[in-house]
Amino acid sequence: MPTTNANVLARNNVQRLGRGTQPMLFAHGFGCDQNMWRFVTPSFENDYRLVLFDYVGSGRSDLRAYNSERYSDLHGYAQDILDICEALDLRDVILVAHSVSSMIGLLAAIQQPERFHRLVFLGPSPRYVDEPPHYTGGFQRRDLEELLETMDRNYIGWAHGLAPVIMRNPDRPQFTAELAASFCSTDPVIARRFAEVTFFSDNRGDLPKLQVPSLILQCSEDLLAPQSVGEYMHRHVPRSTLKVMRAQGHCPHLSEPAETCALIQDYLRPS
Amino acid sequence: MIAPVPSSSCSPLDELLRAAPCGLFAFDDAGTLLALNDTLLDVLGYAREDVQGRPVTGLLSLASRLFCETHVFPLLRMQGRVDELYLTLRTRSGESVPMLLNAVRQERAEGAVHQCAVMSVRERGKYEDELLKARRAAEEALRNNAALIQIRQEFEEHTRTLDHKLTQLEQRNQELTRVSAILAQDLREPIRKLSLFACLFTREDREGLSMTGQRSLELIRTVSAKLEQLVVGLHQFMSLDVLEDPIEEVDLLEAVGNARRRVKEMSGHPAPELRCAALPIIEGRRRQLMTLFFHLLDNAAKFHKPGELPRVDIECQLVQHNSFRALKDRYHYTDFVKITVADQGMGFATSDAGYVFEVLRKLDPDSPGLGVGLPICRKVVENHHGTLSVESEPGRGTRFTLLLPLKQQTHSAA
Repeated sequence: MPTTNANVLARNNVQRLGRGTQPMLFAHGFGCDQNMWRFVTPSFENDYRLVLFDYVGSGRSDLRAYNSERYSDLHGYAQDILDICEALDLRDVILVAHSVSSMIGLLAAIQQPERFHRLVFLGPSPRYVDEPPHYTGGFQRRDLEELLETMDRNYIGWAHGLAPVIMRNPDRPQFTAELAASFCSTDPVIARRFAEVTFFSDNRGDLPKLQVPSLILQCSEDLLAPQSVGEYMHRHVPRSTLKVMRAQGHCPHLSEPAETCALIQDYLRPS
Repeated sequence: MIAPVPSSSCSPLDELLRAAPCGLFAFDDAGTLLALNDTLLDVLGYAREDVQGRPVTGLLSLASRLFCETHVFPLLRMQGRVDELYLTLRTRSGESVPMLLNAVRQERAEGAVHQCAVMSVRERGKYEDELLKARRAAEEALRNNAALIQIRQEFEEHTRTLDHKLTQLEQRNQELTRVSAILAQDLREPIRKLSLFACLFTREDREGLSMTGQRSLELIRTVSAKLEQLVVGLHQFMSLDVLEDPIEEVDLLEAVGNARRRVKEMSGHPAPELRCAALPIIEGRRRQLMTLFFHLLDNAAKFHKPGELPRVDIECQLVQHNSFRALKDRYHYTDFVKITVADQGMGFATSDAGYVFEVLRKLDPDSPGLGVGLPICRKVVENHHGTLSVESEPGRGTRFTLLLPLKQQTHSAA
């Protein structure tokens, strides 16, 4: 199947909203899909043209487009971002990327710096595995292999927990049943491969190649990306700004959307 | 461990929660443990004051904490509940206890609370281990089988195509060698003679001719000189296909330096002023890569703005790129060097960007040069499994972007 623009939009379940002109592209992290951004997008709708998508293999993307060779490398995911930029002819893009998407976005912006205006990284890490004596990613290989086992257990036969469920939350009517049915639903085999490529990639060597200015949002007490990793990023990414957030955990856009939005807006405000 | 005898002050419901045969606990939005029942304390070997008021993640193994951060907490917030999730809890002595978790999120005036129940699945876990092992083996077998069948079909198809292409290629190569020989000798010789004989006319001879005769003679000389150049250019272009240069380590900085010297010697134009980033050593054909940079610099030297000295900026960046170019759905990311060669010369309209790489296609027939330089560049880049693209704007200059692999594939068609 040739990759035409319409194909890309359907393949990555691309959604567009907002009333501005400058594009703001939101890239979800590992374990979830574009619904993760729903508490954040309202703050930018008036001023930007918002583009949301699911990586192939996540959310409501077209699973038939999954190519194990392509997506066994973060560059394959970066190609998803570049494909979307090309399909919509996006220029001057502000890319907001969570977790592993930070490295995916970084790789995309190294390949086509002319497309991007600013990058915003939420809880980025260039390498999760410790590389003694000079680098502490926070994890031993064994810890991450155990995580893969935990994932396998939770995906047995698709039966439990992470399989699509119908929304049982009547006090939040904005979550329609349809959205809920797709939330975080992912093919177990693909999810496992995504986990492998996420947690075992090493992108430390790519950091100095980024030419586009970037904002690193570092949460306090983030198990996946400890503060020392944020500082490492800041030291090695040229033209980067580091902000340490009050928000705790790995998903500030869920737990502290107000702080997350305010920091991004501050950063984008022309000085 | 046996739970203490209930005091008579407890209601039967409190008693049920306290000593139920499953672990119960609650934590708030910040992840602080608000309450937990005696059963859970017993299973984990903690006293209440060890854990209550502390982070709930302290009860989990590291892998399960990771899983909670990436899956469970987002799901609870977005979906309000999770069911039958597998997690590993950690006892005070560091032992792992596999558990199934059900949790619901309740929004309250004072903040959200997550109510959780866990049940040990140690025995069930062994059964699941077997299931998982079997499933992995089945998946693996299925994948190998499907992959093998597909590979065999593709292989057969490819073999046929390859055979056909090789036959064609061999024939084409013979033709090319012949054409190249014609260009090098058979065609060049008569043209050279034409030039030579036109020059043999002495001044006296010419003075004996009419004005028309003199003009015709002059035209014969210019045209034959141009024709000779054209044949030389075409021969250069064709020979890139025919000659087999060895692949070796080429220092691109050296190639650029040599190319610049040659522009100065050959063209008579001033050599362009060069600002060049550090360039790597890559595998390639030395002579061809030098020719590539020669033509790029020569182009800048020819098409600089009147009254300005030609200036070229060379930038370089190492990137990873898919090394498959024509085949769809094949991906292999390898190291490439991305080099941009930019001048601030006359430039051309972007709509002409396709033409400039066509042989003998000149945007302005009166401009200097033969119209083989850029096609040669593209051929060199293609011979190295790279790509060459151009952007330009009239009056602003031209920027060529080269993408060359650091390593050449070792196997070559015999």
